[in-house]
Amino acid sequence: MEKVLIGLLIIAVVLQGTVTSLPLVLLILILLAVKMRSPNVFLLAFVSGMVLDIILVHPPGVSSIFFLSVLLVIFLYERKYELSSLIFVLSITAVMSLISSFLFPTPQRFLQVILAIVINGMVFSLIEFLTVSQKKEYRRA
Amino acid sequence: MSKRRGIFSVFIFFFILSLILYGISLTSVGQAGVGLTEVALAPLQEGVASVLALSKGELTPLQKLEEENRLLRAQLAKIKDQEKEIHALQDQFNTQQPVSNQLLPARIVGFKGLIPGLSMPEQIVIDKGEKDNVHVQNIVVYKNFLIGKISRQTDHLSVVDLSFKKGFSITAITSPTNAIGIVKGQGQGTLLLDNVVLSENLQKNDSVVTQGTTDLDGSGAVPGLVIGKILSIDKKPSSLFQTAKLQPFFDINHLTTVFIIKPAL
Repeated sequence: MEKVLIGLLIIAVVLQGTVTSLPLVLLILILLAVKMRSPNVFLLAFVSGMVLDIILVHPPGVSSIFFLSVLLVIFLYERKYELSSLIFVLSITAVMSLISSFLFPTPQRFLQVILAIVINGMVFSLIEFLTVSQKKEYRRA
Repeated sequence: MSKRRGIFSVFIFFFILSLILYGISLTSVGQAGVGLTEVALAPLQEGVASVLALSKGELTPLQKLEEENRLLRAQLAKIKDQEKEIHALQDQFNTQQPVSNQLLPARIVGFKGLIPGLSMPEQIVIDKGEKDNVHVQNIVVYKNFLIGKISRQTDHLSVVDLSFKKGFSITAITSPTNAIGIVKGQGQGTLLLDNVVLSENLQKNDSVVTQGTTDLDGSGAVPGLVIGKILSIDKKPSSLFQTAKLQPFFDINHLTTVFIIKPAL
């Protein structure tokens, strides 16, 4: 599943860098942090942030710093909340995409936040569904 | 506890690395590095942006007629401008030669809109930057339509604020009634002609063109660039000014190339 998410992260970098202002990279990084729970996500956040900054003509490093901070916040909540729950994913997506829309001003801020919540909710649910199906098949085997 | 410490150390490492790279990017060496990466990534960006423009498909007969209508309106505004120029020439025997400008073609490599194809982008990224002698505030056009102004740039890329982006403003004049005002971007593909005194005559479907804001160094907007047409007029006797809603003449989603007006040296 991690490989799929990393693939999605690459697609998200290309799409956010060329055709949309939706914070797709942030969304995938949130999902990666929730599913992987490994410090390796920081490396992905750093690299994707740098590439995105170069493509979007932002000062290099600004997006990386934001992504790294988001991941730190998620990991800090690891003990207090169940990270792998839809409620947590939706709330962290809402808060972080709103902050992102202020840091990197975009048109239709609130519509963007709503779309971000919907997209991440759907992708997270799909991942959960696939994971459960895989586990069932494994048990049967 | 050790896992938490590990996460903190990795975070601190990449955080400091990001800060260092940010610092380096401010130096000339760093800018050269960023420039190289931009050059390497440009074909990918261009490819995706072109695919997106092509995926919108052929224009329908109605869209073709609308496009033709836009071109005719632009030509009409140009003819009216030429008429005015002829009158001016008749009034005085010698006229000043306007500063000549160079057009630099630039490929659109990025659209900054919410949903590709559905929402109107307010900024575009083009493949020309400081290395091409392009500067912030340079005007970007397509044919004789005003597209926007360059708002920030690196060595090889520039971000263009489109004319309908919130915060964009430029002095303008209506054609043929010659009412002067300020065009302000309203977002979502709409413009507002503001600060027009009540005594001026605004009419629906009139074209609005730039009044000309060229500086001594040749930078700024040349006069006569078509901004849009008047959709509706808001005139209240109690107000100081009248306003009009404008519709831009260009559809940015179908463009792949634009032109930067470089000031004559």
